[in-house]
Amino acid sequence: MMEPMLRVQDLRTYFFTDQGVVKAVDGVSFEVNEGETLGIVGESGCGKTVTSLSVLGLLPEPPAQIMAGSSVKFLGDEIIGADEGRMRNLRGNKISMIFQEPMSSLNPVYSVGDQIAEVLRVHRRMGRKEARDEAIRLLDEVGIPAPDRRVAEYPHQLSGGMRQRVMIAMALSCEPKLLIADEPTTALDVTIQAQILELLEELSLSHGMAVLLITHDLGVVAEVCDRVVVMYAGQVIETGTVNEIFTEPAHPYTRGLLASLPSVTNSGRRLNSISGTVPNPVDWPRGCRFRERCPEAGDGCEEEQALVTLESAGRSSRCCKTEAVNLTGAG
Amino acid sequence: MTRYIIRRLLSAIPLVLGIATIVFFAVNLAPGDPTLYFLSPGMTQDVIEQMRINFGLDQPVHVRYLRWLGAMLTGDFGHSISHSRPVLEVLVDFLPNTLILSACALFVAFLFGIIIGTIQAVRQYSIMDSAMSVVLLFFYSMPSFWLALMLILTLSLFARNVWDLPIWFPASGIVSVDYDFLTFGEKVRDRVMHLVLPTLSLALVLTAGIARYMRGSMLEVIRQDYVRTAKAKGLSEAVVVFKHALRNALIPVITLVGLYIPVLFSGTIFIETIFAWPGMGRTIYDAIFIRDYPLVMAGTFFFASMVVVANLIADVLYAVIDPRIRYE
Ligand SMILES: Nc1ncnc2c1ncn2[C@@H]1O[C@H](COP(=O)(O)OP(=O)(O)O)[C@@H](O)[C@H]1O
Ligand code: SF4
Ligand SMILES: [Mg+2]
Repeated sequence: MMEPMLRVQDLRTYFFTDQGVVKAVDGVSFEVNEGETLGIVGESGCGKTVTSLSVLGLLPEPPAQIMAGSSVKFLGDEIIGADEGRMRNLRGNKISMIFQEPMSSLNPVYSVGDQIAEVLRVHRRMGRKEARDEAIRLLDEVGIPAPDRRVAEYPHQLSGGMRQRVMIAMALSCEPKLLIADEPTTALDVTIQAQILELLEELSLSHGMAVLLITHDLGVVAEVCDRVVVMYAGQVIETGTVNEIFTEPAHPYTRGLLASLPSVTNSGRRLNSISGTVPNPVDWPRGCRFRERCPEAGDGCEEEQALVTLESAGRSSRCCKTEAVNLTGAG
Repeated sequence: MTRYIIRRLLSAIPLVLGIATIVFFAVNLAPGDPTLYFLSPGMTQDVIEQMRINFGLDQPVHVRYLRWLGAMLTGDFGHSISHSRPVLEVLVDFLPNTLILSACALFVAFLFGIIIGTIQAVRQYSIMDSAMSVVLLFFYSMPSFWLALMLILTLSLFARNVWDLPIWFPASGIVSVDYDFLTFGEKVRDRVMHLVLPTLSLALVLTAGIARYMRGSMLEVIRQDYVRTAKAKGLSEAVVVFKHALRNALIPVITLVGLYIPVLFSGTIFIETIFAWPGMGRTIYDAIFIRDYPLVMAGTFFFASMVVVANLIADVLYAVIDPRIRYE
């Protein structure tokens, strides 16, 4: 099989705080293949953002620490513990990232053109004029009207949707192999959300760029992703293709997420959301971490659950009831 | 931008007039008057009365106020009683020395305050951060006249006579006695050397305050999303800190330009006295005791106007640094 572009293996990122050790990411593994769009879903607080920031080495250490045994390989090379020079050459160049808050992710004191041009000047060694022209072209590509005027404007002069487009233009500027998008539409209006997702999908196709799309919204996943990783309490609890996850969710948590999704059949009715909240990451529950909230909890759930591969390599679940459920589903 | 500056300038006019008014009444309503300076034993009440008439002190205070204000608006600041020449000439002699000293102190204080505060924030909780905090707290707590004496003791006296250092700084005046016989290059060096100790005495206290403020502001800024964005772009730490974070962190610090100028001017009164610096601070101080009203009023008015100007500069700096203000 072809080597995946990004392989995250047993990633553990802990925060050493006064309140104790926050085990925000506690043994996460997944792969992103060339050109595909992988979704990471999970409720807020389950470690998605920390996972993505760990990949690019963007967490402040201390308090964060990526624990020994964690591995992130990009194009076959280990990048955990790589020196700053190598990481800088990856960031914004081979791997780009866009964030949840377009309102605060751009620097308020520099024009959007300068902020885009900066990446081109650093990574592609462009001159001032050339970088500016390229910035205008990029703004045009991400669908910003009158780009030659907008290039000189400041973030506060743009709407949230426009700012997110600027972030995308910036991320796109060096033709990265991988774009990490952490909840890129969460802070936006619904109509703008759809436009931004469409744009991301279009660009990933036209640039042959893989996308790691992080979201708490399965609806977003359904729209743009090829495969899905479901996270809960700092761990991966299910993986599969979008089709598999939506038609035969293996893990009770995934089923809970699906049930809380508005759909044609249950629109208007009160949504089923999973009861309770994500447990405290300083002290994850023993046994299955979802047990306190799981409607199917029973015998065997007090054991630590392993991520078990199901019918194919990319299909797995972390629940002792998975096979039984699948059998009843089939029979 | 130009309109913004013009608007600020116009709004400063009533402020300056208000200052002139307060200065006038504060000086004139204080006990005593200039005749005290000329009193000698055996002087009759008639002579004193005649002197008061000569000075115009027999007029009611509001008439004096209007005459003074009118004259001042035409550039006439009157005649200094103690210096026996026009106030304007006295100002021209002494004011530039004070302005140079203050400007140097302000520049040094901001330069070091900003650099130290930034380094402290970027290396928060490191040994360097704690060590700098202790040193700064020391300078912050010490009165500047005491610092001045310590600087003279160490960098001037001991450096020259005890430690035999190759470099030491003069502790008095603005130039050496042999200044007129020096070449141009030596003259420049001589002036700079004379500036060092008074500048440091004034600047150290301010540096400490600015660094403290800068550290807090920088700590706030480096947690912002756009700083993370800058890192995610693959920029070096130096560019992230000194380009992306610094400019934002400076915005609140600019306020200190306006706040510290009055502190600086009152500091010059002691420092100029200690270092025999022929500046305005010392001159006004002397003039107050002699009840040289015209000189006190003009000098105070200029200092107060300088504070207004400093705030204007701060406003302009805000606009230069922050586009959100520029496009208001
Ligand atoms: N700097 C930090 N210090 C301590 N805990 C943190 C820090 N950043 C994140 N966390 C904790 O890590 C956990 C995962 O956070 P995050 O990855 O942001 O969740 P998600 O993106 O899935 O909503 C949360 O419990 C959060 O409180
Ligand atoms: S292991 Fe048990 S508690 Fe955990 S998800 Fe499966 S059924 Fe629920
Ligand atoms: Mg998040």
